Amino acid sequence: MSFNVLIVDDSSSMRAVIRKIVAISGFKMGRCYEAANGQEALDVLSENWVDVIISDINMPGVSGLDMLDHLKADDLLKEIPVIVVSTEGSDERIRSVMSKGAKRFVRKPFLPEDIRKILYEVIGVDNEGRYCDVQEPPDGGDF
Amino acid sequence: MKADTATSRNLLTEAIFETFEKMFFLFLEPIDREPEGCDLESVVQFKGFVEGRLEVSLSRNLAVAMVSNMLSCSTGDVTDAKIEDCAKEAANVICGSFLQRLDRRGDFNLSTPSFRRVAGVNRNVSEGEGMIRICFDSDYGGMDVRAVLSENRPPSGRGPEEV
Repeated sequence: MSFNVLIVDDSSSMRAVIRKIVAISGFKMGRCYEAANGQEALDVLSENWVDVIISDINMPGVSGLDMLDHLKADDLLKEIPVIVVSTEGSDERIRSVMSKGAKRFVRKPFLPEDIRKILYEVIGVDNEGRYCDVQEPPDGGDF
Repeated sequence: MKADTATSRNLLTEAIFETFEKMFFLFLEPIDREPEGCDLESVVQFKGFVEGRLEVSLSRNLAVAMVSNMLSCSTGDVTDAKIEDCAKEAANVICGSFLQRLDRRGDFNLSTPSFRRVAGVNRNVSEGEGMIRICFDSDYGGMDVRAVLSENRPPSGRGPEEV
């Protein structure tokens, strides 16, 4: 089983870096979609299933905060975990973002390990990239 | 009460070092002279507990190294579009990190960064009240960072390390 990821940032360089971090982290990534703002992200979500969103806040057009409002108002999309990655990381801003439904907040600049660790936490895998809900039968699984 | 220039200067230097080490894997050396050839300029304006703008001027060689390191690509694959995107992101991240250090609880908004090529400009600006200027050298070229600040209220103090 793999997970589809949506990366939302107006900087193509930052999207490329995040995509690379996710790819090398051991996280089982299926499709990786990209969007340059919240509207593009919503367009992607209208046509594709996404398991986790990694998004900036400050983007031209529909911002990351606006996108969170749209997600929260949608019964299906509100279940998708959102990790916000932003330069604007005051305590007040973080509270605002979390109140809109984001699961985690990462301040730029970040180390690859920061994103990897949080991605694991949000999706529910351990530090080795193994899914926590998968348990081996005690007898090895032979019938 | 304004944060004094020396304190602001130290915090800006910390923000620049952190950004370059974490995002671009580059180490900078502060210098006392204006570096040559810093023809690429990105600017971010900010409003909130403090208002002003941050200007980051880079040499092309340094910008190429930044893109190459950030994207793990060869210098031959570095395009003007990637340089512009990377320079704007650098200014954006430095600015956010600097303001965060000035006041962790203070809210602020950043403008979308702008970018331009400014060949042959003699900046001839000196540090003073409300203006911080820090110049750097590196193995790849120089950088000139200027912050213009006008504080709206006293800093509320530094808060918790992480939420």
